[in-house]
This record gives sequence, C-alpha cells and structure tokens, in this order.
Amino acid sequence: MIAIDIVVLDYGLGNANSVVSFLKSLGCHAIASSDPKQIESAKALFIPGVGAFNSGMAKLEEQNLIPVLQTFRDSGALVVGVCLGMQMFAQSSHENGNTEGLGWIPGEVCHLQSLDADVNQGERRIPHIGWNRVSWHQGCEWRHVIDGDMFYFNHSYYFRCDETYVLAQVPGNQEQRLANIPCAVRKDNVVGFQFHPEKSQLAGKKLIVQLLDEYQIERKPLCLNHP
Amino acid sequence: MPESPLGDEKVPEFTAESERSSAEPSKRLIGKILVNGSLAVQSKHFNQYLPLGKPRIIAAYLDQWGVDEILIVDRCARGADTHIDPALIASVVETCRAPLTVGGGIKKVEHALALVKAGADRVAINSGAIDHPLLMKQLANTLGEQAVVALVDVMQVAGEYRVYDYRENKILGTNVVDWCEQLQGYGVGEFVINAVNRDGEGKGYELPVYQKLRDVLKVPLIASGGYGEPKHISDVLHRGVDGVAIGNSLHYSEHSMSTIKAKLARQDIRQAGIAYESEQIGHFGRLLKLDDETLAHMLYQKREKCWL
Repeated sequence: MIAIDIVVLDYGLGNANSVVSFLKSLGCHAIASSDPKQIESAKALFIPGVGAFNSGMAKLEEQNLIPVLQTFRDSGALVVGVCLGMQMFAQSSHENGNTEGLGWIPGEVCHLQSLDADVNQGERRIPHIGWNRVSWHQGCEWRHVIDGDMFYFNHSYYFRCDETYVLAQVPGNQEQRLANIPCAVRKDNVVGFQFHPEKSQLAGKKLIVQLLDEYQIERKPLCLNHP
Repeated sequence: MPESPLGDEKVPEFTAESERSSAEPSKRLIGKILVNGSLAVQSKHFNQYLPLGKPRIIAAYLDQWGVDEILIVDRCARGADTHIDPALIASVVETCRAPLTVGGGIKKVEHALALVKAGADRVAINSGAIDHPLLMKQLANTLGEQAVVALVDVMQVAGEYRVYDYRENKILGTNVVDWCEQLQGYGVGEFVINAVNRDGEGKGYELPVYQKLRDVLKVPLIASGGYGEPKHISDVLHRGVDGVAIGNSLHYSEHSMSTIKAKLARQDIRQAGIAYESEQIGHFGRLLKLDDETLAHMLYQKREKCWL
C-alpha cells in the first residue's frame, strides 16, 4: 500500500473529488477522507468547499471533525483551505446569519457588496465568477512564479482580515470604484485561497507546487514554461 | 477617499497592475456539452440529436483547447427520480480540469450535493425550478448562491419573451424577465439564457432578450444558443452579458476554443487567457492530441454519425 501524503477532507460539502484528481495530476499521493486516523497520519490536509458557510460548519460539527482538525493544525503540518474551506478559518461569517468559524486566522467573512460599499460605493457583479488576475504581496516568496497569472473564482463572500495575513488580492479599479479583494491568506501553517487552484490550470499547479515543496511533500516534476 | 486597510493607498505593497483596465473577471467562453444518458449529443432545436461520443472525451478535449468553463446538461433526465448521473461527472473530473457546471433533472438538494461531491463546481436547474421555484432558495442556502445557476429556455411569442418547457415542447405563460427576477430573489447566482429557436442554427445570439435581462439582473448573465462565428460573441458581449455558452460548433474543429479566444483578444474583448501546461503543445505550436494510453483508458471509440 502506498503511504498517503495528503488527505482532502471529505465532509459532505465540497468538491473533494476534483481536488484529489488535481493533486494526483501533480504526482501526489492523495485521497478524499474524513477518517480521523487517516487525517492524523497525513503530511498535509486540504479542506475544499463548495457551499454556504453555515452548512459547512454544521457538517464539520455533525461529524465531530473540529477537534481532529484542531489537533492537525497544532501539529504544524500544512493545512490548505480552498474557497469555503478557507473562509471557515475565520472567526465568523455573515452568510445566512452569523455563524462561528474555526477561528484560526483572525477575521470575518463578509459579503462582497460590503467591501465595495465601505471603500468607495462601487458596484460589481456578484457572485464574483470567472477568471481574474491576482496580485501577490511583495513579501510573498512565490510571487515571481505566478504574479499576474489568472485564477478561477466563484464566490459572493470574502475574507476580511488584518493585512498582515493577506498574501494576495484581486486588484480593484479606481474608475469603477471597486476595492481590492483579499484572495489568499496565511498564518503560519494555515494557508487559504479564495480562488480554486485545482481549477486554475497551470497557475494553480505552479502555486500548489510552491507549497508542497516548502513542506517537502512528494510530487513529480512539473514543466513550468509557459506555452 | 475614506481610509481602509484594503483601500488603494496601500496598493504599493502588492505588485502594480498598470495594464489592467477592469477589476471584473474576464468574459467567459463556456463549452456546452449536451448529454443523453451516458452519450454526448449535438442538438438542433432540442428535438433532433446527433451522437458525438463519450462526454469525458469531449470534456477533456475542450479543456485542452482552452475553454474557460464547461456546462454539462442532460435534457433527457425527465423521470421523477432521474437526474444526471454523478458517476458520469466523476469520470469527467478524472481527465478534465476546467470548472464544471452540471444540470439535468435536479429536483432535490440531495441530487445537487451528490453532483458537487462527484466534482461539479455548480449546479444548473431548469425544469426543477419550473415545477418548484423554491428549490432555488433551498439550494442557495445549502450550496451558496455562487453554486446555483438557473438555466432558462426562452421563445419569442408576439413580441414577448416567454419561458419554454423543453419536456413538453410547450411555451409557458411566464414572461422571462419576471421569471428571472423571481429566481434572482431566491438567491440564484447566475443565469444561462438559452434561445430555443436559435439552437443549432449558427446565425447569432438572440440579442434583444439579453438587453432586457441585463437591465434587471445584478448577477452574471450567460448567452446560449446560436453561435456560428466569433463576431456573434462580440455582438452579444456588447449587450452586457458576462459570457457565452457554445455547444455544437466547438465539436467539429480542433482547437476551436483557442481560435475564438485569439480572435476576441485581437478585438480587445478579453485577454487571450489562461496558461495551460506546455506539455500539451507540440511542434509548430500545435496542441497535442491526448496520448493513446489516456484514450484507451477512456475506452475511446469512433462512432458512426447519424441523426437520431
């Protein structure tokens, strides 16, 4: 039996299958699971998510997964949240009423409308769906590999937090009076992406490879030249 | 301008994006795959069908050719408890990396959850909403509004656009603008508006309906039905839609998607796009066919073409 390096959390809400198939295409040993033993023995945990915040947290609670996730995070191993998976790192969310989150990265999840309204009264098309450019923080180590690349987004809510945790943002536009959307956050071993790396073709692969290498997780070599 | 931690004053910390003109996402080119059970088909007015092959092979090719998203719809899943097979979606996801919207006979939240688990990023609802509009509200509450797409068939009758029920080939009494506004109120996150009499004609999109809907819809709006040439896309994008769905015409020429994108990029309508893996590009910059092993694994076989 091949040792499993990455567990993609299958908690009944989310596209665990596409994340596993993406990680396998990078040559990783990944499975979808919610078995505490398998999670415990993994080198990295991916928390995917297609869903509403309150139903996501309810699923985690129903399956008693929160203590398991907590222990995993405390071990210092890599935790990657995607979309809803990332939003659940927050302390709370305003989606469908107020719901408490995991509280791993100080911040709250708010509707995109409030972002533009607070900053400069712009109006954008919500949900924010499709391919958009992402600008990375100057201090981000993998900036040179993916800066200016397009990533795939599909969300109506965003992670509002202190800028010290923001790794990347979708640049706003003064003329359209649209604010920057924070779209990647990190606190130590907890990393979250608002966009879907597993759906972002080469850019997604280049990004995840940076993280896997930082945590020395086995993968096959990736051809990084642009076509 | 009010101070904010995310306001424009702080941008220098991030890389400048001088060449960008818009903060909105790129206009989307969506590949539409119509399926009948386990078989992909080409359609004309949704009453004549030509078999094309396995959906997963078509999806894998569209993905390689640079499609922004794929919409897979089964219009034949009509029974009370039939809906598009999650196993089909799971097989598509094995070889296709593009974002997937999936529809066909979804009548319950559980159907949608099974499809999302199999690999769908969003679900598309057509007849399920006609029978039970509040289904959209339940789906939005569970999956979030970003994952709920309304697929609406329209027909023009005496100068009015009305909702069309494909199951009975019947034009309903509902005005399409009223219908979409109602569904938007239930939390639908995107509309794909399909002009039935344009389907398979290749003569361009039904422009006036998109103009009418754009005025009342705040969420993304996608045009479907009628694509024949890239000019048709620029025509409908000027009506304010956020993307176009293309079905039939994509299947008969290699790299169809890349060609369309290149033409649109020349007109400054959208950026040329996303970077794909360079292993997929062969000599002379030509995209490669899937390797034989992958094709064999997918049980690729040629089918005789005939109208059903």
